[in-house]
Amino acid sequence: MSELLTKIAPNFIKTFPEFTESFFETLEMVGTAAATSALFGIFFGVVLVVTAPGGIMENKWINSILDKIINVFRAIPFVIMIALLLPLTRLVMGTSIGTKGAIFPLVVATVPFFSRQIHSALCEVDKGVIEAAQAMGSGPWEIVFRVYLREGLGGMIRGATITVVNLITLSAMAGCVGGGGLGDYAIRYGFQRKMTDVTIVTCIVLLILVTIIQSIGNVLSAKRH
Amino acid sequence: MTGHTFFIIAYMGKREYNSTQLPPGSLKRGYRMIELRHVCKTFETTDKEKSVHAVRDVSLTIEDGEIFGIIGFSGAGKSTLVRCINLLERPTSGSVIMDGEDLTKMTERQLRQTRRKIGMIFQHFNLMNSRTVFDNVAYPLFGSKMSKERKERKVMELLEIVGLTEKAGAYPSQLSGGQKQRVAIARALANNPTVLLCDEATSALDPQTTQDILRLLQRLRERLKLTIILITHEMAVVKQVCTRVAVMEEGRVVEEGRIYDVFSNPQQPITRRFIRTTTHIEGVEELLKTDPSSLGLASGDIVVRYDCSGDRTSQASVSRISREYGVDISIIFGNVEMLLGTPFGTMIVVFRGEEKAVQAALTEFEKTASRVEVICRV
Repeated sequence: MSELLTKIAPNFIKTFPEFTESFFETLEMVGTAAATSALFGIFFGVVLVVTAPGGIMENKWINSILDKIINVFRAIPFVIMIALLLPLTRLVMGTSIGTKGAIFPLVVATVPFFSRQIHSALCEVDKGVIEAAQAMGSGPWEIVFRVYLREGLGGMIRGATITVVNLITLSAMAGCVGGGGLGDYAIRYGFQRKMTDVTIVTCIVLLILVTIIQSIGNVLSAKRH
Repeated sequence: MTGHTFFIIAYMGKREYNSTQLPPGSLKRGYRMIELRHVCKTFETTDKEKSVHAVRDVSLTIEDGEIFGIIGFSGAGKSTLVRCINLLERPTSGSVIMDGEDLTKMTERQLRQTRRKIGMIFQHFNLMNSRTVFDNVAYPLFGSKMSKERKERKVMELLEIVGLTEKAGAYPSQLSGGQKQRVAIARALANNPTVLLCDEATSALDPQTTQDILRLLQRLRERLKLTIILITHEMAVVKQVCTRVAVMEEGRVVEEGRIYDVFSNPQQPITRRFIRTTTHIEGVEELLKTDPSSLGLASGDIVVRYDCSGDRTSQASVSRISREYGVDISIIFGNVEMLLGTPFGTMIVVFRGEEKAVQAALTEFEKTASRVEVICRV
């Protein structure tokens, strides 16, 4: 097995320790950023839905301001965002380089995206069901936790799956700030040192990773009736 | 209920029905459960001209134990009106009094408490798809002080009332429309409400299922002493279960009264249009106007419409008058409506004979009916 691998992907085998390190860096970046973004994304997504016109806590100001902020952040390309955020990253994370330095811009870029995903998932919750809950005497908080987040869970999981896959893509750019990860590894070895086999193997690994995440997402969201 | 023969009219006389009295099984009346006072609801748009006046100055009193029907074509404002009762739509002006308390003056918390006493069911059922039947019915019990076991008992009791105990573990997507509405009814009853609002609750159901749901509602009214407010666009639904009815048009209540009175003597054109949807009499009247020859009428014939409600005697009046006055009376149309279980008969008859005798017979005929109308003289 290893003999065969050495034959078809010699550089990959040579740089295998760097590969495993990069792989776990990717997992660390994606995992931490996803968990943090999930919290904020769900929060902002819910705020967007409930403060919308006709929503259960209608508030024109909060809604339009939040909506615009999300649009602005989604419009900035990630590479530029990393550069823009440098001082803030240093303030929040204590450093602006390395894996740690990459996580903060990843979160900032992902939260608006995930907020939109949550927003659209919750918009799909039947207005009639919300009305029925109100008619039964449920207050706004009860409706958020017992109706929106529950009825919209299938859509939220689908949104989360898209977001995590998107995060993996974004994490490839973390190399800019020395964040490491599989993307960085593929650029440094595969592209800059022309070790094409490294690039190919990295792509296959990423493909497997994305497939696994997508499958988990599909199974979880299909469980919701 | 059409299709009964005219013979039932003879039976109607025997049944001494007083139109001010409710049929058996009804509850004590006279207590004002819900009072709407000058309720208006306007949906503002940026362009004032285009603001929608969904409900305009509606005042209604709904008494304890009634099944009160609100009928209107779509866009008449009936759904908005019923949402004003539990303040899902806050009225632009006017007040909603329930049990002597003004809902429009309550705090949010008080309002939520009051809403628990007002059950509501919807046209599209509005069940939560992520919850089982059991969990849907248990939803409104969240936060109540009941123990888990008592809650479970309560839910199973409710499911038994609507006849769905064996579906407790199913998801709404696995149920038929009628079953979904039954679950919605069970859910609406979880907090022991005194009022049940039905917003087009049978409009998405087939005629057979509609019958089942209406019968269930009637049973629930008696068993749980509910006051039911029923919004519909189907006259057939109103005449079957409602004790009183309000007819809505362009946001206003244009006619209101006991179902029997409204049905037997409609005042507004729109009310007549609704009644027409459940009988065929208008078709016969139309035929008389456009193609009388098809009915084989001869010159000198007088065509008369005869309405007969349950509190009038009508025993064999046609054959008696025919004998006594020596005129021929032929029946070309006959129909009996069951209004809340009480018959209301309509006939179209043709008088033929010597002019004086026919006049005298007509005068006598009028005495036996609640209303006689000469449609045409050939």
